Amino acid sequence: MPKGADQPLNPGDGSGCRAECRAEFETLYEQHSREVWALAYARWMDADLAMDIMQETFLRLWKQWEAGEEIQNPRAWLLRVARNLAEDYAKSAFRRNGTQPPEILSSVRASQPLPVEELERQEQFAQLRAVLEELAPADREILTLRYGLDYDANTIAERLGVAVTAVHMRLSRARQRLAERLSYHTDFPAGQPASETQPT
Amino acid sequence: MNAFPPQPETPDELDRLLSDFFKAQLKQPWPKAPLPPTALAPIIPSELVSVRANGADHRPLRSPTDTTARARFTLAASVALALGAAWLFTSSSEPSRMAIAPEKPVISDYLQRGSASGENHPLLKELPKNPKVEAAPPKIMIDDL
Repeated sequence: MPKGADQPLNPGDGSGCRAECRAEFETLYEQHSREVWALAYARWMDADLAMDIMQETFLRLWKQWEAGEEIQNPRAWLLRVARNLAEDYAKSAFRRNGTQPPEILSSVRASQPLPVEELERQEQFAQLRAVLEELAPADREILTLRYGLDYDANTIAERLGVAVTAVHMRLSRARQRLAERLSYHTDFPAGQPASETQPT
Repeated sequence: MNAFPPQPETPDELDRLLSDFFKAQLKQPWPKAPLPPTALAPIIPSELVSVRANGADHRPLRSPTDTTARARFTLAASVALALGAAWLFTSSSEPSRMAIAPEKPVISDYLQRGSASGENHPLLKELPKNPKVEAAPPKIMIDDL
């Protein structure tokens, strides 16, 4: 793990690096955990599963350190591992056997009647979730980065490794597709110029 | 009755809906870093350095959760106990030769020494020896009896 620039830290070497590695680990977690979560969430639209994948990813990072593996680019490594874990989840027995869908589980959890506003909000969210699930994972990813993490176009371009203009275009198209599907399910006007609100 | 919940009517509303939706998915507060137990263990080298730097008392640095030392002590105690038990068992099951040895010699002792004549008896050894007898010991014939 890079110490400062690129000197590897090894928490298992007994040289007193563990405190330093822990601090470095927590810094990396603070910097990248939400992005890792967003990647997993955009894949499966499941916040709890995304949290599990994110935490497993960081635990694997620590194990890599303990094993003495040198990781030159921790962010790229984290995103790659999270992507693999998210894909592996599709093949896992848990996924195949599954539990109940989140809509059913959320209704099971609701033991007390919700206020009308909260109920409407939950219905809006449920509908938006259904529409988001119809979108491509790439669209969900860019929407999650933009609206979940409040990244601007420059940050998204840097994180995704694309040009800023490409981010504007992809974001605009993703919003347009979202609006079209919402209008298909409801009476929401699909012709709204989605590109009017671009991230700065 | 409207079958669908109210929908956003402007891009701003769509933005707000998306923002609210994704923000609601993020846990608040965000959980701390999932450090494994090995990372959370006390850092002995740093403690050692700090103790030396402060010039504090040199009591042994022993973590309260140092289970390896306790395990080593338990193993050593178990081995010692097993060895002691084995020694006690073997010493008690094998009768001591000294414990049953008679204080005075018995006939069998002389027999074991390869002589049935009793010439090694202490009383016989104390008797003055007759040179004639020594030269030619009397022959006892069966017919004389």
